[in-house]
Amino acid sequence: MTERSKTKEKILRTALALLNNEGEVNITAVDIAAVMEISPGNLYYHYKGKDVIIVELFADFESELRQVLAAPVNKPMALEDNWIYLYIIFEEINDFRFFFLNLTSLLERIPELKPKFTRLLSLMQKTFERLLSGLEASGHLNFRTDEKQILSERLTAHFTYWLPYANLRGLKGSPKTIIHEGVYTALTQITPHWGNQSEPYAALLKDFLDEQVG
Amino acid sequence: MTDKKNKSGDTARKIWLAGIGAYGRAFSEVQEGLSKATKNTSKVFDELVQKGEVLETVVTHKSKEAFDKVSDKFGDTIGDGFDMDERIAKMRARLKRGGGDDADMEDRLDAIEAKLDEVLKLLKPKKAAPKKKAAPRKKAAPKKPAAKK
Repeated sequence: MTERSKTKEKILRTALALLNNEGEVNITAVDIAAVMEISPGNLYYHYKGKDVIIVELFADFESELRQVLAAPVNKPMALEDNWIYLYIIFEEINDFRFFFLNLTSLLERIPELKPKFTRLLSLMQKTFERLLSGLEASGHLNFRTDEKQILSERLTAHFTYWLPYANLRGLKGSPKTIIHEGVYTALTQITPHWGNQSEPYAALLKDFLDEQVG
Repeated sequence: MTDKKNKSGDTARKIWLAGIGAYGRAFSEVQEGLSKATKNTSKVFDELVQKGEVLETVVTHKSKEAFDKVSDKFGDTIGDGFDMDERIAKMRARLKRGGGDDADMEDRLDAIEAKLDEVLKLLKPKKAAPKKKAAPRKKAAPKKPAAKK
C-alpha cells in the first residue's frame, strides 16, 4: 500500500467517519478540516478536495474487499462459516456505507471510480459463483442450466443494494442486526436449491438468525 | 395475560393436531367419525387430537432427524457456547492474513520470480528470453493505476 503521512491517515479516518455517519451530501472538505481542528488550507495541502479523499478511501475499501473476496472458499464451508463469511463481506460494505447509500450520484460525479467498482462487483459475483459451485460439487446444491450464474448475480445485487434498501424500508436495529438480516436474506435465496433438504435448511437458517438477532 | 396467550396457543395447537390427525386417518374413517360427531362432537375432536399428537411426535422426530443430518453436513457447532462475535473475529483475521498485505504479497512474488529464474537457468542456460518477457509485463500492470492517481 502507498505510504501515507500520519496527517493524511488521520484525514482519511475522520472523513470516513463523517461521511458514514452524517451522509455524503452533508459533508464538505471544510467540515472535515473543522472537525480535525486544522485549517481548510492545511487540508487542501494534503488532499485537493473531498472527491480526492473519496477516491483514496475507495482504494482502501477496494483492497480490503478484494482480500476478503479472494480468500480461498473453494472447499465447502460449514453453514456457520458461510454465514460468517457473508457477514464479513457485509461488514466491509458497511464500513464504506456512505458510498453505497449514494451510489448513483457518486459514480456520476467521480467517473474514475466506475470501472473500478464494476470490476469489484464482477469479482464479488465470481466469488459467489465459486461458493455455490463448491456446494454443488459436494452434492449439496442442485442447479439447472444458468441458475448458478443468475443466483450469484442476484446475490451480488443483494449485497450492493441491501444497505440503501434496509434504509428505505426503515429497518430498525443496530448495524449488526441489519447485517445479519442481510446475510439471512442472502442465504435464504439458496434454499430452493437444497432439494429435499431445503426444509430443514430453512429451519436451520431461521434458528440461526433468531440466535444472532435475538 | 401470558396465561391467556398460552391458552389460545394451546387451542391453536390442538386445532392443528386435529388437522393432521384427520389426515392420518383413512378418509372413510373420518366420514364415519363425522356422522358420529353429530352425537358427540367433543369425543371425535378429542380422538383426532390424540391421533394428531402421535403423528406430531413422528413428524417432529423425523424433522429432527433431517435436522441432525443437515447439521452434520454443515458441521454441528451450532449450539450452546457458540460465540458468533468470536467466530467472526477469527475468520476476519484468517481472511486478512490469508490475503496478506500487499508488501507481503510482493515479497512472495519476488521470491517466486527468483526461484523461477533459477529453474529457467537450469533448464535452458542460453535462453534468458522467457524471464525477460515476463518481467516487464508484471511491472506494467501496477503502473497503470498509479498513473491514474
